[in-house]
Amino acid sequence: MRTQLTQDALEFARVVDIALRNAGGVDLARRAEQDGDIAEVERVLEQLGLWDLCAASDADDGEVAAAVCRAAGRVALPYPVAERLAADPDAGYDALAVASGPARVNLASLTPGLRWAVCDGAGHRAPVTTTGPALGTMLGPLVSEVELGEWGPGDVRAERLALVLPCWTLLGMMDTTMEATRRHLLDRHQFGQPLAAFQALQFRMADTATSYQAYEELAKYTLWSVLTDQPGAAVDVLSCRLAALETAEEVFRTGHQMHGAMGFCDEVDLSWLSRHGQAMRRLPWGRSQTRARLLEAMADTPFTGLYGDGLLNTAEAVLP
Amino acid sequence: MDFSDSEAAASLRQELRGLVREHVPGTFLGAFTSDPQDLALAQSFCRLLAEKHQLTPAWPVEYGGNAASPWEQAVVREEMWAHFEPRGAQYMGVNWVGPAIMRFGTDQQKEEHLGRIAGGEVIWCQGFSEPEAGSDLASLRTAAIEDGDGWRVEGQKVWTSYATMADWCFLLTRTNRDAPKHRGITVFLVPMDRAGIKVVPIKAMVGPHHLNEVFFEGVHVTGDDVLGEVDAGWNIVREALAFERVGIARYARCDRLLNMAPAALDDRWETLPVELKERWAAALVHVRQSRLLAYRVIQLVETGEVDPADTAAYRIAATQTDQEVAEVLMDMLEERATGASSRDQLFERAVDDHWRYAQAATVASGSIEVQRLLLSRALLKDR
Ligand SMILES: Cc1cc2nc3c(=O)[nH]c(=O)nc-3n(C[C@H](O)[C@H](O)[C@H](O)COP(=O)(O)OP(=O)(O)OC[C@H]3O[C@@H](n4cnc5c(N)ncnc54)[C@H](O)[C@@H]3O)c2cc1C
Repeated sequence: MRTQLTQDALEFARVVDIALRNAGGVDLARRAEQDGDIAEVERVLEQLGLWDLCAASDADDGEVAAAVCRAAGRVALPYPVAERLAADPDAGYDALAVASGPARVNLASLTPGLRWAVCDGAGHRAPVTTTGPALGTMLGPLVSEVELGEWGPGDVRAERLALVLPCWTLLGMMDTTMEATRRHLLDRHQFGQPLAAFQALQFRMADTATSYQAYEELAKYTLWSVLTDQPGAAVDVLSCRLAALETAEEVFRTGHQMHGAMGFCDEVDLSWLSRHGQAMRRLPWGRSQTRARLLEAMADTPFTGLYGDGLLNTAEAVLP
Repeated sequence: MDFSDSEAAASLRQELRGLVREHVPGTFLGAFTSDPQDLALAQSFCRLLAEKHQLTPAWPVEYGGNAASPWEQAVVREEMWAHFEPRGAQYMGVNWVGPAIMRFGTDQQKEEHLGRIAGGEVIWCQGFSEPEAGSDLASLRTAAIEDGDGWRVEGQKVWTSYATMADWCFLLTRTNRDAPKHRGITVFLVPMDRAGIKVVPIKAMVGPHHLNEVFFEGVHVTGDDVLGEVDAGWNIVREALAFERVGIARYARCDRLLNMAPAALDDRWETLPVELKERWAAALVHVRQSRLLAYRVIQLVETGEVDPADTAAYRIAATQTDQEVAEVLMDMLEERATGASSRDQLFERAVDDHWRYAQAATVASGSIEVQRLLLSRALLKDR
């Protein structure tokens, strides 16, 4: 049992963190939303050499890729890092998103030079043939409507990465939200004390931190499951997405509540993370849809646990 | 990363499952029932585990252990709790009394106690809580008053699990009333048959044997009974509770019961509302998350960096998930959630027991509020 990412992955992520912070941090998202300018982002990412990673075929690279997505999430980076790291350029596409039905894809219009494809979570892939302009809405500023070409067979590993890597991006957004909230509770005084002195807020923070930690562990487990082709991987990615959505709801809600009015201002990073996180939380499926899909998937693939795994095969799942 | 059992842990798991299959009847739903056979079975199962050094696997070999890794300890906790804890009342002795004696005991105390705990021969109880000292444990009042060659203990403990069957009590007393409340506390290791101790069971929804009152009237204790230093008991308590760390592997029984549900409900499974099945699926995910939080603590134990706040997060998650699972399972039983109509409705009985015990999960061994305090204190430290 080794429940921590490789040192390489952690080191790489630290380098990415620093580079993104030096390039402006969340200001990169502010700029992209204003005029679609991501030249600086592209330059930094190119320098970091991310696109040499091969998450689909190398487990160590897969761990690095996840850590990098998390670092990108920490600044709500306006670039499809997870989508690119999930893709396989040799198979003819540079970025892969999960989408079904009338397809909307986050961040696609920012990167007209990339060959985009979508997968449906059920083993099929289709190329994106046209990408509309960014919606520019408050909650989907960089989301585009896309048209798809013909569906064909997809690649299982890539499809699972396309589900799990955005969960790591969302984890990064939660990292920043948790830290900003912690800081705010210490810095902001009311009734002559820091907010952190109030038990009601302490308790809520403790519960939120628990969910966040529990989700972080699940994100790691799921990544391992995908990268090592565990028998339950198909179900694991949906479980991870479900937990990601539950936890994001709690983390952002707690963050907003504890920041008071200040948290809604564009001056504060939380406001950006909260809005930009929406695309990830609603696309391709929200919480109820994800839960329904999870239950459906469990009918074919047993959920791995101590007693439901079919791996150990010695568990007694029935009482006599 | 690698989330699979090591070879040693996997083979231990198989071995324990084999032992359970062979020696614990499938109808066993815990040692604490009104049927004395259940307790007797647990006692003999403990001795069997002890022969294989599996009762205290992580202890050093010289004290009857196997010097196993914390991961193997976790396997024992998981397998036992999932199979309705056939170790019965060994929890206290094995998990923290023994380690506390190893750390603070005299040679004579180690000699006297460790072998017997590792051998599954004794039951210990925890004499901490008092009517006026619950979460604020350090305000305890049971007094040890100097008297001749030792002390006279006067006072009352409450909620003392297993006291009716215990051979020994790990007793917290106040030896110095003038000192600040965290000083002036002394630990005594007291045999339960010493004159002046009276146990009164408390009838409770969690079931028999879990809750008792213990009265101390002029109980004589001596320097030989003191663990560590006089007046320095609070440190021992803090450390002893830290030995507990992960405590009960509640998630393991949740996992097993949730996985049993489809087969146990049989035809009824198909007719359950989809919404309820989705709650079941989500509960499985939450159970996995609790397990991973336990593993997170174990990983930290291995590197020696664990902090009470890490354990607190695990406990907050695991105790609430225990209750979530209880609610999901009860909903699934529909009208049978009001109780089994015959002894062979085993699943119904197991869920009934689980629900009742789960109610106490967020109170026993330090309430969830106390865990929240611990966690938020660490989280909101200005750094
Ligand atoms: C099944 C079971 C077995 C037990 N076995 C043992 C045993 O073997 N030995 C033993 O010594 N004890 C045992 N206990 C007792 C247990 O340790 C106590 O119940 C626990 O410490 C809480 O104390 P209390 O019940 O007095 O509740 P109280 O301390 O009175 O608390 C009541 C409520 O108020 C909350 N509260 C208290 N203080 C604060 C605060 N500062 N801020 C916010 N909320 C607060 C609590 O969290 C709780 O929700 C057992 C309890 C149970 C349920």
